Amino acid sequence: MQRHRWLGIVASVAGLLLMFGPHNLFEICSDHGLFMTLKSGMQVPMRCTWTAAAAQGLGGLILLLGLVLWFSKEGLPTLSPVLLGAGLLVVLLPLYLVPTCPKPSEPCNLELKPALIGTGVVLIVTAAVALGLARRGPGRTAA
Amino acid sequence: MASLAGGPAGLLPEGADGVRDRISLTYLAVQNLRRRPARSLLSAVGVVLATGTLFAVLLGLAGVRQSMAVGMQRLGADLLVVPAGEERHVQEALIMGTPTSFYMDHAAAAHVAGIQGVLAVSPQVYIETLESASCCTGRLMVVAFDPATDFTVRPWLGAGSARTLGPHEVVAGRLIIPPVGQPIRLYGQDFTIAAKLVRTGMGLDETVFMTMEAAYAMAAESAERAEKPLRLPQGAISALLVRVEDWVAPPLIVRQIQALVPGVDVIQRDQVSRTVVDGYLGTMRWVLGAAGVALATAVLLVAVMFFAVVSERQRELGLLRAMGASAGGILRLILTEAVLLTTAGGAAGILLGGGGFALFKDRFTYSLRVPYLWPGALELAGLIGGTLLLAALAGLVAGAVPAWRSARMEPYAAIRQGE
Repeated sequence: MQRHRWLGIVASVAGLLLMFGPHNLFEICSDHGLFMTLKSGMQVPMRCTWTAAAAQGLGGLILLLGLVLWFSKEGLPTLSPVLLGAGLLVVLLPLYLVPTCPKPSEPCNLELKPALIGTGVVLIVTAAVALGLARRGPGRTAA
Repeated sequence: MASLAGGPAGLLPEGADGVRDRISLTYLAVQNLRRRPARSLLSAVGVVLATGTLFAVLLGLAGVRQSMAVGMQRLGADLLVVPAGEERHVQEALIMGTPTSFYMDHAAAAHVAGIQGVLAVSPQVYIETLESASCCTGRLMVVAFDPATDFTVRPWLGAGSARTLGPHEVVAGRLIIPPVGQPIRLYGQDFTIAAKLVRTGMGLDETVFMTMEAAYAMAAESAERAEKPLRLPQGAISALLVRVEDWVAPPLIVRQIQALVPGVDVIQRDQVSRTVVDGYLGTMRWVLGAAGVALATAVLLVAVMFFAVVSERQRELGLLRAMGASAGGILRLILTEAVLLTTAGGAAGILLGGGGFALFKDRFTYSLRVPYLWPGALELAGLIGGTLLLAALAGLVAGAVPAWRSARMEPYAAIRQGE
């Protein structure tokens, strides 16, 4: 299989995992149905809600890029760095951008955070390898 | 083949024209490993898995020890005196922050303080809060302390020992969500967080500390303010924190306390640490065993691979000997290849094992119910260095016999057999 298709598959699977994983495969929160009650009595979503939402949005973008790569060999040198950057964003999301709860025993830290970081790292490594190979020369077609 | 004239660092003696165009052992070894990347990778897989597992388990152990050391040092006590039968609850509260509450007569404090060798005694009251409406808070452990005798909380407040907590102030563990200066509601009353502890990795991170006066006032007003009243018997205490003189062995004081004060258990600081570390090792025992078996298997696999390599490359090695390479040089070449292979596998194992542990640390420690704090840089460097050394030793062991056999080959016979 050609290189661009390998990266396309990995990106598509990562994108699907990010889009549909939160709430279905990995739990976000167990506390009060994702909302917290302020002193005034008003309910506001807890920040892990936004972590999951951002991950789902990024997942959609990554899936789209993966599908483009599947069909476009010429896209590999351009889209590899984009996917590398997207993978970095996925890793940074639960750590710094929209950090999860400080309590380590909450589901956002036990399930959502490792899933996002793991998916992001796999995407970064695959994109980096693809980029390195793309810069080296034309890809080989598997026999 | 490139010119192989070389000096001491290379395989061959310097050429007659003095050209020092030498190929180093390491360069040759790397090129040989790169010639068959799939075989090299497959041979290294066992080393990667074994070292990765070993590194992850040892990283866990180092962190558990670090957390216990920091947490128990923060507590400041050598001994904890608690009502008989409550030892397990206290340990769970200390280690995992599991809220608990139990009481005993405060008269025990005077008895313990009178024992020779006891430096300081400070009573504490343990209170379990109600379910919180705040995000991710749940039930908390509240510890009420006596400001007159306290030696645990005051150091955390900074500014020397002059600073004391006000009646509506608390000190919170690092994982309590509201920041310093913000309110936290307990039994219907708002308290301001005056300070926060540094992270200990233990139950102290989810504990709130207040003065006994504040606790009794909170209990008295809880009937009107809270969803459920707090019943706190006047004058009751939950535990005594005891500091002993440096010249006294804590077990001696333990025996005296048990003789003077019936109906109590005495927990030693080292005992808590040992229990937790032993518990962790007990659970990880089978994992360590599996990693050991995996490493032994990996060494065998690498040895078998190098037997095949030496057999394949007889002609090449014979030619090198014929061109002036010494038997020792051939031995070093094969050993260098084996060590490079396993060390690279070890490095990859450290990355995978360390990365995997970092990713799932919270789940891991939560499932095993052990505290955790990342070890210091020096200890981490030691762990990494030790694991790499082990991987390199594995390569030495695996490559020893094939290397010895290759060094013993007669050049002419090797060239003829390799044709």
